[in-house]
Amino acid sequence: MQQILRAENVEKHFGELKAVAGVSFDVYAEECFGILGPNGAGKSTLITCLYGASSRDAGRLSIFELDPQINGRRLRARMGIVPQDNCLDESMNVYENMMHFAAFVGVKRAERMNRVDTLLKFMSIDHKKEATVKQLSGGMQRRLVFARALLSEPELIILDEPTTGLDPAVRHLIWQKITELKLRSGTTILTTHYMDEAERLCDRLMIMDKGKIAALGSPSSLIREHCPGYVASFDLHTELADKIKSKLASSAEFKIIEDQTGIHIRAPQIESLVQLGKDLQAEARLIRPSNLEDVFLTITGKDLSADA
Amino acid sequence: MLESLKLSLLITSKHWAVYRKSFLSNILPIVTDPVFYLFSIGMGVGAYVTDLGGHQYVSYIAPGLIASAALWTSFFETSYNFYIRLSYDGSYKAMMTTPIGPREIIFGELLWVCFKGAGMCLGVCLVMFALLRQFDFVFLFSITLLGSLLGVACGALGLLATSFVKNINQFQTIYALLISPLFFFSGTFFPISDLPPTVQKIAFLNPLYYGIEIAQALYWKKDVADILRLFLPLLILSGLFLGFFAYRRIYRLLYK
Ligand SMILES: Nc1ncnc2c1ncn2[C@@H]1O[C@H](COP(=O)(O)OP(=O)(O)O)[C@@H](O)[C@H]1O
Ligand SMILES: [Mg+2]
Repeated sequence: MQQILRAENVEKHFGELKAVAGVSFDVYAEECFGILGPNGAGKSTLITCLYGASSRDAGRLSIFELDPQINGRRLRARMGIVPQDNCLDESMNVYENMMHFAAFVGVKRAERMNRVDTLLKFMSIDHKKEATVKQLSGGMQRRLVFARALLSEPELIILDEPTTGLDPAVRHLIWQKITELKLRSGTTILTTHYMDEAERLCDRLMIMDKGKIAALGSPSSLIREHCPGYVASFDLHTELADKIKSKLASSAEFKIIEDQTGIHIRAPQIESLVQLGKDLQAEARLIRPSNLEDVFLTITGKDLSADA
Repeated sequence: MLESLKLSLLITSKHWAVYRKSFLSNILPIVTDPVFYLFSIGMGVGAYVTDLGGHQYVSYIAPGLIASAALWTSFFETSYNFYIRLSYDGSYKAMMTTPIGPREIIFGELLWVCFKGAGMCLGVCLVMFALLRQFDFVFLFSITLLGSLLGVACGALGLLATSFVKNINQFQTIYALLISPLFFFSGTFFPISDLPPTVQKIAFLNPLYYGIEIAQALYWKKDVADILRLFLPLLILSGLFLGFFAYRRIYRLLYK
């Protein structure tokens, strides 16, 4: 696989705060690389360094063999960026937003209308061409920003929380579009704090916490490495909790995790969890394969939904 | 470099597209203010001051009022409007996802106030001509060029002020303590040479004053060559000087 991005010990400070505190990773052509982390982990800050919209305080970055700090303009011409905030121009309608952007990214005048129409259709918002931004729902706005990012026919697409705050139907539509773009052999970097999004879309993942890399690998390898197996969740009664703790205290097979939603027990085999339920005479609310959320919890000791 | 200039022009044309949408409400105050000054102060004070340097009072203040339009329009643009694009509506954030960088944004802004300064001086001049029932093509043409230079100098001053502002309310202070004095000590309403020497020296740092000296010379067709020789370089230099510092400070706001 051809490597298109290399980051070495990248740091970005805001005064005393090291928002990005030394991260190193590579991104390869045609993969979807995910950056998963809670709010404030430093994802957006890292992303803006990648496309050269902010400077970095240490480390090296090269994308397509170019340093974004030096060749930002040339680099951005080859990227499509969906920033975390939509940053749409509210005084203009959908079509005008797209046309001005098309000019900015260097689409030839004769091609502009055509390209804009094609992309609006691709994101299924061509029927909203004349609508002003204010008239669009949150999901529509996000789709417009997506279409806008594709105007440059990018080789690398960067998506900062593409679906945060959107309803399930729109999330699925956007996931579908990301998948379609993947099939067209583009490279994608996306940030998210939804583990299902990361699991579904990303070939490789970097889990970030407090500006640092907590783990890096494919979703399945991360799960295999950090918390293989299944998780059974029980409602939290003190009585049951005590019973579980005393029974499993010395067990190497079972791992106990407690949080606000209940008490969770992980084991490599699903059968042993079922048997445990019988022994305890308590029915698990849910038994499921362990996921990235468990990985995050195992590594950082907190929920993905908590702030970094 | 050429690519950079092209992008700056595209930014300017986008500003124009947005501006055009509420054209009337945008230009109205810039055009009506000088008209009100002309009719209130011009007529009112003019009843007592019948001769100022050989001019009727109304025609004394007319060139200054026309040139000042460049100050109002460009300073407003690079203060409030720029700040909103920078901090609230994400315009510049969005542009920075394209090949546009901080350099193009700043140049685009200065180009925009250059055009705006020219356009406003032209417009206000036409209105003044209509009200005073006169017409002078050479003045109309030259005040338009002067408007573009004033637009850049005052626009750069606006950018510089914006770079110090911590929140949008502080612009009120800047208008009260910077823009009002610039306007009142510009020579529009009375000759600066009649002020005490210390005040004169301060007024001599005012880029609007340079522009108004030129505007008056052009309007009265008096000592044009001498005035231009002195004040045109001063105006251009002040634009470059302010532009230089504005560029450095705003660059750091756009590219943290
Ligand atoms: N412009 C800024 N000035 C100061 N602090 C900032 C700035 N941008 C982000 N931060 C801080 O840096 C940290 C990382 O923020 P961010 O990159 O936005 O995280 P994420 O995108 O993962 O939610 C946060 O603590 C945030 O408050
Ligand atoms: Mg973020």
